[in-house]
Amino acid sequence: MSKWTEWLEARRKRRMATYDETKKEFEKIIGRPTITLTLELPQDLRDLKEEFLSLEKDEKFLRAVEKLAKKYLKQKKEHSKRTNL
Amino acid sequence: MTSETLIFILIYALTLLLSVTEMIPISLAALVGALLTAWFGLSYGLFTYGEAAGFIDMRLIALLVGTMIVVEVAAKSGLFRFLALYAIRAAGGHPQRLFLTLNVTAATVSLFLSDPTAMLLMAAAITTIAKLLDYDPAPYFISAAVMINLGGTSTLIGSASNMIIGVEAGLSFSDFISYLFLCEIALWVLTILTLYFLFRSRLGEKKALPSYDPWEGVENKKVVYRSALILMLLLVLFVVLDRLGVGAEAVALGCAILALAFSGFDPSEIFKRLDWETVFFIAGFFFIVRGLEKTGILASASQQLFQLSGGSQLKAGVLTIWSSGIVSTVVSNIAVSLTFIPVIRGLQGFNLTPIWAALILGTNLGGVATPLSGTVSVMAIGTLKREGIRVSFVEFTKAGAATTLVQLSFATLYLIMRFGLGV
Repeated sequence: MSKWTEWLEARRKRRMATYDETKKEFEKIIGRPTITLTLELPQDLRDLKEEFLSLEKDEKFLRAVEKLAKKYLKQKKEHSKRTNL
Repeated sequence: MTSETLIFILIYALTLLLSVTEMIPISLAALVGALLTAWFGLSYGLFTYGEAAGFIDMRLIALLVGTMIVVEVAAKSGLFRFLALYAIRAAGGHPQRLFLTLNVTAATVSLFLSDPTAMLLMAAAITTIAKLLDYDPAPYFISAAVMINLGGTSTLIGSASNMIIGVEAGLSFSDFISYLFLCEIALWVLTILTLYFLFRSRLGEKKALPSYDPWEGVENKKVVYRSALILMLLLVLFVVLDRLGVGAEAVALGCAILALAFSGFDPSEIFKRLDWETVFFIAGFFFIVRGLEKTGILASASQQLFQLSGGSQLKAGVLTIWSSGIVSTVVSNIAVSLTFIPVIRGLQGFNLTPIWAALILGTNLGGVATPLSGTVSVMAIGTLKREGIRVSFVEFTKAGAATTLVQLSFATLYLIMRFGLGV
């Protein structure tokens, strides 16, 4: 019976994955879009593998990345304004 | 009742039970049921191998698969997402207008998309806009589920159960429109009004909607136009089918080939996205019902229906719409339509057209009475839960049962007036 339970769970997950994918497309156009980045563990920090992996759910780290993105985008905008002038 | 008949009833009941509870994949339940039907049917000499080979109506399967391909190509092109985005923009941040446009869009997209796919699309659209405008998504979700269930009641390709009834009863696309289109439009209006009455205080306040282009996110506009054109061509060809001298399945397959050829999509990608589970469930269940038919039990059911109605066309129509509607609140409408077809076909001395119309209405309208009535309601509740919003059984049932009751009552009156039953 557990095989069928697995099947049902897999089907539910598939549907939810489609839902998440569709939602992301809508958010990109009318909502607040999100991006997913892939960061590689720096070579010299191999001993901090666990800590690195936990960054995905580290609120403080995510806020810092958000701030960095904001700062970077603003700088980029300023730069393009100046070049256009 | 003979022991042979009892075996076939048991196979039928067990398959139904397994498909309702989804304890195992519904397609597998139906296919195992079909295998057992074949085994016992051949062993008891109830039917020959040659007869069994013709049990599954391949025209129906071709119509189903052909339509699925045309719609899947349109969905992949972004056509339906564009429609949803356009509807949201047209409402301009006004909650009442948003409620109206989302409900109309939900019913419109479900004319083509399968109900679960339409629900996923509308759920994603509603969550996004509700989050943006800080609205409670629950009333919009529940209303969309009700409208998705209703959408497509009057078209041959509106739902799998309509295709089954259409092919088996010999009803064309034009017959569906001529008998039921007005009823469906009136049901849209009545249902939206009922839902508005139930949810009017929870829709939220007017807010500014940021401007956006509904075309954003569409990779290739040309493919959207082509898909829309092929969908329209499919509808037009369905309407003029009688003059073409071919069946609906030929039109569906022809348009499917055109859609694949002109979309530029990899056909294998499209084939992978088709709802094969429904196709195999229909094939398997079809076989089981045909086996049951051979025992003569469904002919007795026809006689009983005739006796219950006392030979009155009005009573037979009312009995069909309400019994199929109520059973559809628990059992898949595909199973209900497949079971009712031989029963109705066996009715002697009746004009069957109003009875077929009653079956179409009943099987379509019973799908969202409770959170457990069908895939659409289960998915609406599931996606809301994922967004951290809990909708109680009672809250959903209040809207689902109220709209089902309003719809079935109105549809009964429509049947009586449209076909002059009881006059």
